[in-house]
Amino acid sequence: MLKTKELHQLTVNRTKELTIENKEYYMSMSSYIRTSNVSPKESEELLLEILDHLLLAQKEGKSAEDVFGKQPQLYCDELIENTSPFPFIKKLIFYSSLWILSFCLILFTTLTEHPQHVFLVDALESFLLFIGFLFIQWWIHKISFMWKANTRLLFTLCIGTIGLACLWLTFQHLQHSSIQVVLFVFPVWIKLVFSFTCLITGIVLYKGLMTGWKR
Amino acid sequence: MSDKTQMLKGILEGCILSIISKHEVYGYELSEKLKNSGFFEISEGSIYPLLSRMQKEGYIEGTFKDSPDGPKRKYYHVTEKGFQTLETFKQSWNELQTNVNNILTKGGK
Repeated sequence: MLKTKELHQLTVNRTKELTIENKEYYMSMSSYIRTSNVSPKESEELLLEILDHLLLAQKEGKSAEDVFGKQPQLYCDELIENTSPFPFIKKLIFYSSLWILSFCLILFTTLTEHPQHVFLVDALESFLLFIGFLFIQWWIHKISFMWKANTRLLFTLCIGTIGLACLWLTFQHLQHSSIQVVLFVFPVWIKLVFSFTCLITGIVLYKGLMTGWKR
Repeated sequence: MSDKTQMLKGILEGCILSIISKHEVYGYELSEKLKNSGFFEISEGSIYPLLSRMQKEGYIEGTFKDSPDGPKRKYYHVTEKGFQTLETFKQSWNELQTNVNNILTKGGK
């Protein structure tokens, strides 16, 4: 029996064999299905199976649209209609680890910037960050069939970075009570770079969680 | 969904069960077999939602195995419940066929 992670790896490797058009079509489907409420193992199995079909069809000169139709979102909804949802316990473990991840990121900023930081504020801040991760998941699901994959990634990164920077600025504003002090003490560009780094770390860990821990 | 599509789906499921009951197949192979039997109008991708439904119902099971030409593929086989469903399908299909033929040839007498 193949594990979710192995299935995911096979899919990643074989996606490289797709033509540009087919890859674009397939990536939209995979982003939509992975962010749906489907058991990760089943979603990876489905994705590998339809990828295998697409690759064989591609050899005969067919496009993804010929195989799956002109309405990929509708097709994906049909595909996931009969799959089992994400089990509650695993969901709980997954989201708790996501919250812990948020908390670690916040603690990291606290330790590097001002160790006297209030613990309660940390908790609140990490909760907002956790909501942010959920928002990004929802957002990726919503925009799966809009624009090209690169544009989608760029939009998501921009929104995430600005969101994180706003979050940090707001909390520092609360602590220092004056926005001028915040801007003076912590230049905005440092915030942006830091938010971006945190976001990338978050997304990488999040992907690991999605494929590795949710079995 | 219209009744016609529902009926076609039911018939298609019966056909898929019958194909898989003969020997294990993977998705692409199945779609080729359906096409070769005359189901040209059915788009290739539409078998996957059906396969997924049939798996959920417990008629078929799929396992990933190495294929002769290399990559791992999901091969389907029919379960005990699936064989029973196939028998029921065959019976209802034969009845339906006889009834429709009776009407078409003898005008329903």
